[in-house]
Amino acid sequence: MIGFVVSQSTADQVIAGIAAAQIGRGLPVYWTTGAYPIHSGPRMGQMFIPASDEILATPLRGFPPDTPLEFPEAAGLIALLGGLEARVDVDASDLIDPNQTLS
Amino acid sequence: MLARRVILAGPSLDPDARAYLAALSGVGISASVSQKRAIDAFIRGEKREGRWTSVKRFYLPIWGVAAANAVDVVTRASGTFSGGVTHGAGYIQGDGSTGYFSFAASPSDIGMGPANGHYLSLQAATTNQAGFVAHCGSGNTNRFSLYRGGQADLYTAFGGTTGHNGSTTDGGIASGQRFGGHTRIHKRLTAGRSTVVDTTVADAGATVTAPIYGLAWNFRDTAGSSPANYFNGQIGVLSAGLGMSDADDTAYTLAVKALWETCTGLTLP
Repeated sequence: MIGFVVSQSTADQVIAGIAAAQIGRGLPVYWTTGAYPIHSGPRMGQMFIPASDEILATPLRGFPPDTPLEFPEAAGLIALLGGLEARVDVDASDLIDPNQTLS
Repeated sequence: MLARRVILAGPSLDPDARAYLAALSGVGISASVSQKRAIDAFIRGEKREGRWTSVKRFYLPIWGVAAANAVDVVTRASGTFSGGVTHGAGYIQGDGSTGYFSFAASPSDIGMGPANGHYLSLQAATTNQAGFVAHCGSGNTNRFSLYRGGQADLYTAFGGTTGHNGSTTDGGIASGQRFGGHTRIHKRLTAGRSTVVDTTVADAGATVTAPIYGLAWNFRDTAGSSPANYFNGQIGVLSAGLGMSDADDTAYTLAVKALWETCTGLTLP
């Protein structure tokens, strides 16, 4: 999974920024990257913000549809995360919550 | 002598249909004439049969863009997509690791309770992933869920400890409900509808306050919880609301099938 690994506080800031970009346009919050706890692996304890090229190209609204990268706020949020080059590849299994598995 | 002109006007759309289509238009989606007619016919039919007030949330994520797919047909409020979700022509599809859709409401918020609730998920392909929602208490005991792995599993809805493993979902429509003292799961394919589970195990426990999710499910019965298990099936309809009789579920799932097929041009598995 391609995305950013950040602290909880940075994750909160980014998620709030994504929400504000929609609310500020009079829209409901219909899309977010989400921020996911990393439960295992070398980055355990940090937060993962999925940001693959596919996710950053999600068709949001309009025709032709806007994508997350086309919003003016995106540059600032990505800079906060260290730039697109700061993305890393996190094993999807590291996101599995061991307390929420079906027995 | 004055000439008279008679202006013939066509039938107007149902108000809820009109409002939903207006909400789509507001995010850049123009439904076709056949789609408009199908949506109108579906809502009119459910109102005529007395089921519409039991439908509390209905999502038709077929439009190819997140903002449109997030609009609830019933209230026109918006849910929220998170993570990796593909917005295809006729369905949404999670990435199986982060993608999910939040109804932004809990079962309690929309009037569902330990004895009264209904969920529906339409899968566009035979991926054996129910792809549905869950709301759960701790210890996997209060779960009402239709989940992946080729099974439609139902723990006594809204409480209790009895588990039932049903047969594979094979795509199509999976609907589950708690109504009239019964907990049931049904499966509807093009070939017909069948009952996967039917139990009268008594419900127990408080109504769950965790959000309702599509494409994922969680085990935490807390208002601020997040999902933990994600699906990668193709989902074309999600709905939740009050419980229905077996007969009503039969008719409702048939109407949902017709709506989705007409609007997408696809065929239910």
